[in-house]
Amino acid sequence: MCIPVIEFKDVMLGYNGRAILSSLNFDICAGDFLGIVGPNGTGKSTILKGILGILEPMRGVIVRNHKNDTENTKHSFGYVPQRGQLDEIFPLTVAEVVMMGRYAQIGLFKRPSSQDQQKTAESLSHLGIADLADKPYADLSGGQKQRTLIARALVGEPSVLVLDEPTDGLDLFSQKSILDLVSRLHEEYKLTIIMVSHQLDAVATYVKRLALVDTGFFQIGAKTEILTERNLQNLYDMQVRVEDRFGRTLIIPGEQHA
Amino acid sequence: MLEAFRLPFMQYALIATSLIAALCSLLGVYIVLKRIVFVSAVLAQVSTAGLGLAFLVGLHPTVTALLLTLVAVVMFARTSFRGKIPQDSVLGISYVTAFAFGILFIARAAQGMEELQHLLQGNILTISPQQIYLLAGTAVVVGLIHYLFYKEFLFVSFDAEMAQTQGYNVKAWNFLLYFTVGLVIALGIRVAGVLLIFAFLVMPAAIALLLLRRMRGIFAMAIVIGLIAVFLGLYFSFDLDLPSGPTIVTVLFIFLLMALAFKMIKKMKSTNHAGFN
Repeated sequence: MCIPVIEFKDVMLGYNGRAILSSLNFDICAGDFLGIVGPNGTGKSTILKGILGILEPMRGVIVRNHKNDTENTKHSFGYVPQRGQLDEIFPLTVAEVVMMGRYAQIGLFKRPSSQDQQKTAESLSHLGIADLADKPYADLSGGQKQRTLIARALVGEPSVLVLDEPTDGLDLFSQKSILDLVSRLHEEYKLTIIMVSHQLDAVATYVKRLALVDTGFFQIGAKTEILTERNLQNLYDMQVRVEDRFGRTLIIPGEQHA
Repeated sequence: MLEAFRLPFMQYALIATSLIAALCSLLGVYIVLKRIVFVSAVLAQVSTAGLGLAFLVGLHPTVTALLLTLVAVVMFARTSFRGKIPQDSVLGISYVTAFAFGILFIARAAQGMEELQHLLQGNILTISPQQIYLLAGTAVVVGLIHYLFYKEFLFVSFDAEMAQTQGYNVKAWNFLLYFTVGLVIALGIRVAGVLLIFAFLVMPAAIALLLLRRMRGIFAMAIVIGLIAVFLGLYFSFDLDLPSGPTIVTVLFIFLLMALAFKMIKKMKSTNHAGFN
């Protein structure tokens, strides 16, 4: 049974009066692991902004205030932005960046308490970057920065983790390491995960549900429904093979249709 | 050296300019980090135009400058511009328009071009005790706002989107930050002039960012650099009979060169060290 965390009801999203995606109708359920996948510039991050409440719909309703069933509190969102969005001119240490994830809980007029410091240390340790706490954020590798941003999102103890292109620009090893980590967070802590990526093959192995986004096109469903050869061939207008090998879902592109 | 500061007008100049330097250097850290240096230049020009308008039509100069600057603050505190004209072009147009209006207003005002000269270069040797009280009050208010809301200003400046997802009203926080910048510019401009205000908003923070890598240290160092520049600049301007504003800016520029040299030597040393390992 789906306990909705977010509901899109006939939603139109866009900027400056120009619609990018319309007629969006779907639910994201508690415990979901949803991948929102598609080429760059087709509206994936726009959907994410709608989910996070950063972008108001031009039409329709996005319901975000469902109660968390286990604690009778509202769902809280941990957000991991694209690494490139953050300006590295800011002279912040890894611990300072992670602490920002506690700011909403700390509240106005207050400084971080020893409990906040402890939560930050735990989050760093959990992500395997405790030794980097005092290092400048700007000096880290791409994978280390990604772990820092995930630690920042987790330190606020969210029930939903939203990641925007977490593997973009990472080498193969770091990509796998980040996706394994996200998968572990989903399995062990029952976090609802919403992950945007333009790399279908990279996320296909990990997610339970997939939303495919292309210019003016949106399709969502269980991974097994979406990742059929016929569906992908229709969508991308080319031969596509989908195979499960070595515990991974492989998507192999073939010839483009004439 | 301290002889120069025994004269009352030099003492007033030292106190008022130190207050302006400390405030601008503190705010300058955000201005440099948020890459909104040009916004502060526009606010300074708008403030000057406000003073010009006040002289022309007989309004209270500081109040008029403050009100016009706050209008500009409301405009520029928006997180993004999505109009047909790019943000930097809007700023450029605002800058030259405010500059031109300032000159036109003052050219037609009774005070004439002499006042324009003062507004550009400052008039720190004719400061009254009332101006010092006003600046001291502003320093307390702005200092308190920045002490109380340090983490909020830092968060919305570093990652506005994440802050918004955590329930922060980014527009309101940006407005408050820009408001403090506008307030300091509007109140300081008649004393220190566009040149000095703009220099204090950019140079001490840039120097501190070159030398340190911790936020709190950078705030403290920027303020100290601003204060030392005021002291040395006023002394040399008195001793060498030079205009005070440009002399202070020259001191800041020398500090900047020294910081760059220090940074370069440090980098060369670390490269050599790595080469031997």
